[in-house]
Amino acid sequence: MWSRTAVVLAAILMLTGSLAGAQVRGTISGPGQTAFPIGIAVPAGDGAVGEAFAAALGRDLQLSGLFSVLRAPATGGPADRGVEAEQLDLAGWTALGARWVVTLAVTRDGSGAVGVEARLIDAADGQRVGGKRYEGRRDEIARMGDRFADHVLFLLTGERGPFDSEIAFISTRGGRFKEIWVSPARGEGARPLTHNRSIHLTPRWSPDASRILFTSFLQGHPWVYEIDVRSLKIRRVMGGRGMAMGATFSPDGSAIALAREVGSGDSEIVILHPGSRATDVVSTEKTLDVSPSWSPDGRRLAFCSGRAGTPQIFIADLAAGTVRRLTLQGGYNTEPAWSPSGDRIAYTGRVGGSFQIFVQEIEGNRVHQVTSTGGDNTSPAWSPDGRYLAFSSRRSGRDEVWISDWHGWRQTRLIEGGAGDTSPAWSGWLE
Amino acid sequence: MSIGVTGSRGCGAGSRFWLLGVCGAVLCLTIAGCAARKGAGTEGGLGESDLSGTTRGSSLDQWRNGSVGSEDSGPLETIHFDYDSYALSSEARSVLESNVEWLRANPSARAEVEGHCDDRGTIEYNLALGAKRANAARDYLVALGIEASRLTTISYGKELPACRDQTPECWARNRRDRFVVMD
Repeated sequence: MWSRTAVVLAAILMLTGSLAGAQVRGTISGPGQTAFPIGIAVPAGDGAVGEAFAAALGRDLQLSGLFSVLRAPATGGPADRGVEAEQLDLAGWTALGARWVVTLAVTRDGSGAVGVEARLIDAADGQRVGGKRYEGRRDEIARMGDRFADHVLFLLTGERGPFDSEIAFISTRGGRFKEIWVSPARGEGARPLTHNRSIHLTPRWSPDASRILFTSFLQGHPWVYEIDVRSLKIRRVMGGRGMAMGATFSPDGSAIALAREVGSGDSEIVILHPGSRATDVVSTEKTLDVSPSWSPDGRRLAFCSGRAGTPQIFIADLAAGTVRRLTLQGGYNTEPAWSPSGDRIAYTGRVGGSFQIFVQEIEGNRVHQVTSTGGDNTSPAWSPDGRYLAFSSRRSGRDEVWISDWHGWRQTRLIEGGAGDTSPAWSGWLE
Repeated sequence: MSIGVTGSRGCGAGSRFWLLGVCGAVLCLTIAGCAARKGAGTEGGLGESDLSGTTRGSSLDQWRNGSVGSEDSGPLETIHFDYDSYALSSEARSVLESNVEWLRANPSARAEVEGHCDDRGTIEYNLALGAKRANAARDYLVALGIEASRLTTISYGKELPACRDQTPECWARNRRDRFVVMD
């Protein structure tokens, strides 16, 4: 298991060329519609370290939907003489179609510690757009690539990418049990977090990505638990009479919203304040209220309620004590997920007999359908940068975790090697 | 295996206080003894052996044994529901009335009512719907004179289907309240 602290950003290697940066930034406005060709140059002789960095970086850039990744052919490719802009065979890269080139130099290749310098160069004019130097343990090379992918997105779009993060999900890999798994956000290298031979549901990260809240039948009833991602210790957060489920940390981590059963099988949204042991009841309607999702400022909660006769998304203003209905179309809208930008809510809605992902603007109520495949798409989760959604998809006939930009332009299988993968939860940035 | 109440939220998971088990007791549950038996990845976790809350003969119990969905031979008959509904049909009511006869004839018996849903819905809403279904049957049995103290409810949502085909017949079979007579 990799550490979430040890990739050391040694230094900003080179200052971003301010002129080049100003020119380039903003040329890419959003994922999905056009994929810009970007080359990754790994100098011959650098071996496994450079290749592992390039593989993670390339995977992330491809997943971003912004880029198509080019690697130089084994023979007849660009004749680079080094990693600096003036040493690159720009004509050769341009002939391959590259709009930008990333060059990698392995600065340290010890048995324990490794170092990589990565540079982003504009293939059209040879300007260096930016660069970073990374040092860390050998098992952290891929994560260095993830971090540089996030930096490339920052340099070329003005907004940091989402790939230095993790996805928790539920998987039946290895049998019928539903255990919690965690994967790097690039979707490769998933590992099991639990081996409890039970049913675990709806994981949700703490803001610092150190803990995961989940619902489980671990002790026979659907109750809420929390697992420490490093020590793997499990703590019960809420049990007792009736069920408790769908717990989620407030944005500052100080409170937990969840749904608990009350009399006659109704469920209500409550907020726990573990520090003071106080509990706030968000709404006292006798109905089914489930699936709370916090606004990024912690002042509102979206949730699913059956109070209108069918499940619909509602928004509670916590200070004012008011509740308003958000979704006005469709007869089954559930699983709200508030975007990090605060202005949109993704949810799962039923349309024409299947379940699909939707995004609705909170002001103006404009609804956007993200998925429309055969096979259900459910359980949307926002990336930390708010550009992407991870979700469960059955479009291939099996349950898998997919990723899309929130417009739905480019949809890709995210978690590799699985079947029976559901309920993705995307962590915040690890650093 | 025992559940030790060993820490409060403020103890900081991962600190040595956890390992020493000296934190003030509020909510934390840890189980000693899992690590050696189950290997890396579960040390200190609430584990598979902690099944004190699982009712014998429940769907969860059956599922753990790989037999969920097998035909029930218990004395209380299963009832079924319409899609996204917890309303008791007239057919369901007549089944419940015959279940009441058995409960009256066996006054020491207690029963757990399990609410289940088909998989055409989302996880948490189905858990909530299953709870409403279980309570709908429980309330009807109580209205017919069964002591509430003899009946408990649990929802399994869509997690323990009786069958897994994507057919209307299978969906209908999964939308059910199952009754488990408790020892």
